[in-house]
Amino acid sequence: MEFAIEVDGLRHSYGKRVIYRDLNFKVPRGKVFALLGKNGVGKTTLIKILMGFLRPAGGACRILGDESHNLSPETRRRVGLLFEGHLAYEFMSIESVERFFASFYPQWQPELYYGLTDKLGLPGSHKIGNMSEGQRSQVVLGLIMAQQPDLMILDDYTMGLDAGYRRLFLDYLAEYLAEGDKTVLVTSHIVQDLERFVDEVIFLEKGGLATQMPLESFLRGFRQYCLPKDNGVKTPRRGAAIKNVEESRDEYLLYSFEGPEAVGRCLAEQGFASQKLEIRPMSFEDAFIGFTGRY
Amino acid sequence: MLHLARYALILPAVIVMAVYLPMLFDMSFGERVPKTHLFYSPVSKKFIWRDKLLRPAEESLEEVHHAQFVQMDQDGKRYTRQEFEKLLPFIYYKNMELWGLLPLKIDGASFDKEAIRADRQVVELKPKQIAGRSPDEQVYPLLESQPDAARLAFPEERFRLAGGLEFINADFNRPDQELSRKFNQALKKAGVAFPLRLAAGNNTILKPFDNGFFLVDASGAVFHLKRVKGEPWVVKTPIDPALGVRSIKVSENRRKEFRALLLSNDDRLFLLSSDNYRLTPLPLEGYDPDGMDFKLIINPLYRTAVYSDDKIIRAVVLDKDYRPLVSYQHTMPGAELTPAQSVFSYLAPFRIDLEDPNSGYFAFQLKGWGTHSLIALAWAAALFLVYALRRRSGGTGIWADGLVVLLTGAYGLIAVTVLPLEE
Amino acid sequence: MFRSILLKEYTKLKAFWLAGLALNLCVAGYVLVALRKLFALDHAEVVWYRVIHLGQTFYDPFMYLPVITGLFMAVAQFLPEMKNHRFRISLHLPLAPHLIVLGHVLVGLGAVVLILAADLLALAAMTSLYFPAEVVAVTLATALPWLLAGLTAYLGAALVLLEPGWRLRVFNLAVSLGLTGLFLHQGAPGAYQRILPLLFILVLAFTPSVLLPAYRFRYRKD
Repeated sequence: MEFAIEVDGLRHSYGKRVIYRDLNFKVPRGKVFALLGKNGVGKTTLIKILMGFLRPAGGACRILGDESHNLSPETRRRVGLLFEGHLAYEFMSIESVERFFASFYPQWQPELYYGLTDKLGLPGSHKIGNMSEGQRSQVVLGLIMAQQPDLMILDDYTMGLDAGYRRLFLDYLAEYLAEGDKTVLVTSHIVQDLERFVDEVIFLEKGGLATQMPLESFLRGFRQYCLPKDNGVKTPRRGAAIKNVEESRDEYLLYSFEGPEAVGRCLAEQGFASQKLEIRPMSFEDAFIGFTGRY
Repeated sequence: MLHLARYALILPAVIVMAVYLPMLFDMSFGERVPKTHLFYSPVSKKFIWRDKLLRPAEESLEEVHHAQFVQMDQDGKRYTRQEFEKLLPFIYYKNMELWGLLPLKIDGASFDKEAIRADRQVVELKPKQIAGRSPDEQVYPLLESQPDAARLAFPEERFRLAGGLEFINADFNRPDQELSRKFNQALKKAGVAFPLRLAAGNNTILKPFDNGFFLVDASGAVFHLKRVKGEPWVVKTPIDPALGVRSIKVSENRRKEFRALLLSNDDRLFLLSSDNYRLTPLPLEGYDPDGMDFKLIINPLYRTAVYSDDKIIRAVVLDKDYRPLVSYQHTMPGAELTPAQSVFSYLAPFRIDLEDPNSGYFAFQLKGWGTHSLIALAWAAALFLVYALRRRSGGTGIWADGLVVLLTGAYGLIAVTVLPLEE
Repeated sequence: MFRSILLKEYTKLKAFWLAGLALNLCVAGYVLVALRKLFALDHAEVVWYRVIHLGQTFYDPFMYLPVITGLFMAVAQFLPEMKNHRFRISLHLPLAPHLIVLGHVLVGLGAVVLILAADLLALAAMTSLYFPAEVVAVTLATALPWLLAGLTAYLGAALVLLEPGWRLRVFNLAVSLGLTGLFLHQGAPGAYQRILPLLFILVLAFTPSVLLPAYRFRYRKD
C-alpha cells in the first residue's frame, strides 16, 4: 500500500457551518508530515477525523487503507495516537501502564519505553496522576514508541515539554524512523522544532484548502520581500504572485513563491514602485506565519 | 452488535414512554372520575346515586363549585345534596338527628337512633382481598377469643400452614412444638385431612370480638378454629367440600348475623351464617369477583348488594331473607374516555400500567383502545414511511425499525428517530 | 487483552468499590440497630403485626441505596473517562469495541452486584434473626427490585456519561430515569413478586445499550 493517509474529497460541517467542502491530500508511507494551520481552520476537526473519533459528513478518510471511523482492531494496532494534552490513565503507575499496553501489541519493545521513562528518575510504582504534564508526556511518548506503530499521529506533542525533553524525543523519533516505512503526522505549536525532522508540510487554510509540499521546497521557494511605505494611502493587495501581505510601522512585508521580477510586476500593476523591493531572509516560523497570515 | 445495542435502548425507551407518557398526560389534562355511589332509597323505593360528571351539568341545582356533582334517581330526577341525604336516612342518620327528623317513620314502622345503629352493616369484598390476588401474610395470629381483658390482644405466636399448623413464637423466633402439637391433635380429632390449604381470619385487634379462623383442608372441607382460654376449639362446618372454596373474608360485626363472606371456585358469593354455618347465596347476576368491587349495605329494612367494574355499577335489593326484590344497573361517567384520554388514544396506541387496582401485585398490563389504537398505529407508520423515504438509507435495518413503529406507534417512532439508524 | 481491560478497570475502581461497600455496610448496620430498637420498644408480637400485617418496611433505608451505589460506581468509572474524552485511549486499543465496553461494564457491574449481594445477604441475615422465613422471603422480594434499580442506575449513568452528544445524552437520561423508576414504585411489600423475572429480563435487555455510545464515539458526525 502506497499511502498511510488518504483524504479524498472530504466534506464536513457543524450544522450550517461548513468546515471543508472538498479537502484532498495524501500522505505517502515512510515520511514525516506536519499538519499546520492557524486556529479556526478546522485542524482539530481534521485530527478528530484522522484519529477516528468523528465520521466525515462526506468523502473519505482512509488510514492504512481502512475508513478512519471504522478501523479494524488490526489496523488500530498499527496506529499510535498521541492525544492533545498527553491523555493517559492517571490511576496507573509507570510499570502497570507498561504491562497493560504491552499485552495488546505483539511487537512491544519495553526498552524503548523504559529508555524514556527511566530518565524521569521516578520509581516504577509512581502514579501517572501525580506527574507534571512534562513527565506524563515522557510516559505517553514512551508507550507509543514501544508500540512500534506503522503510523503515528501526534497531536500537539510539544505541549508542556521543555527544550531538553523535546530534543530527547526527537532523537527517539529519529531512531524509530530510521527503520524506514514508518509514517508520522504531527501538529505542533512550536514550529521551529519541526524544521529538524519534517519531510513535508500540509498547510490547512480557511475554507478547507490544503497546500501540501515538501518542507525543503517551502523553505527554499517561499520568500519574504519588504517594501518601505511611501506615505500613500494604498496598501498592496494579495493576489497573483503575492501570497500574503503584512504591514509593520514603516514597511510592507510581502510573501511569495515567485522571484523578485514577478512580485515587482504584480506591484507595478497595483501602482506601486517596486524599486525599493528587497528580499529578506526568514526562519521557518516567519515563513509559516507569512504563509498563513498573522491573524 | 450495533443493532443489538440500539434495540437494547429502543425497547426500554418504548416501555418507559408507554408507562410514563400516559401518566404525565393524565396528570396534566386528565381528571379522575370516581365511581358512582349507588343506593336504594327506602323512602322513595327508587335507586338513587351521586355522580361526578365529565362535563359540568348545564343547569345546576346547587352553587357553582358543586356543579360537577349530581344527585339523581332512576327516573332522571335531580336532587340537592340535602334532598339526597333525606332519601337515605339510614345512612345519614346523624344528619337526620341534627335536622330533628328522628325517629323516622317509613312504611308505618318507626326507627329511632338506637334501632338504626343496631341494624346497620356494610361488608365489602374487593378483588384485591381475594386469596391469591395480593401478597398474603402467610403467618397469622390466632387471638384469644375470650380474653380476660376488655380489649383483644395479640398472642406471642403466629402460625403458618405447614401441613398442619406450625406456631412460631415471636419472642424467640422459633417454632413452638408443644402448641403446634396441641392444635394439630385437635384438628385431627375434628376430622381435618392434612395438608391444610387455606386459612382465613381477620388479623387485627381493632374489632369488637374475635371469631377465629376458617381453615380449608385437603379434601375441601371447611373448619372453624378458635382459641378459647388458650385451648383449641374446632368445629367442622357442614359446607359441602364439593363446593370448592376460593376465598373467605371474615366479618366480625356486632350484628352477628353472619361470620364471613365465602367465594366459591365457580365465583358465587355466599354469606356464612352465624347459626349452624349455613350458606346463603347472594343472587348477583354477572358478578366477576376478579374485576368487580362488591359491597353489601344492610339497613333495618333492606339489604342492597352493589357491585361494579370500572364501567357499569349494578345493584340488587334483597329482603331480610336475601331474596331479590328489585335490581338496577347504571353506566358510570367514568366508562367514557375523558376528553384528554380521548385525545391521547389517537396519539399513542396503548399504555402500560404497572399498578392494578384489582390486585395487590404489580404487573405489566398492556391496555389498548380498539379502533383508536389502530388509528394511532396508522399515523405513526405513515410518518415513519415519510421519514424512511426522505432518508433513503439504512438498508434492511429500516424494515426492523418499521416493524417497531408498526407495533408500538408513536412510542417506537420517537425512539427510532431519536436514535437514528447508522449504516 | 480482554483480561488486561478487566485488570485495568479493577485497578481504577478498587478504592471506590471499598468506599461503596463501606457505605452500604454502614447503612446495613444502621438498619440492624433500628430493628433491634423496634423490638426493644415493643412486644415482639406487636412488631410482627406492624411488619406482617401493616407492611411496615423496617429496611426502608435500603430503597435508594442501590441506586446511589450504582450511580457512584458509574461516576467513579466513567466520569474521568469523559474528562478530555480520555475514553478514546481505550477505544483505540486493538480490540473489538463491544469487547472493550463489555470489559468496562463487566467490572463496573460486577462491583455493583457484589456490593448489592452483600446488602441482600445482610438484609436476609438480620431479617431471619427476628422474623420467620415467610417474612424473610417477602423482604427479599421487596428489596430485589430496588437492587435491580441499582443496576439500571449504573447502566443508565454509564449510558449518559459515555454518550458524546448532548441531544442523545438527554434522551438516555430520560430513559434511564424512567426505567429505574419502574423498579421503585410504592406498593405493598412483595407487590413486585410476580414480575421479578420480567424485570430481570428487562435489565438484561437494557445492558447491551451501553455499547451504543461507544460506537457513537466513532460514528457520530457532530
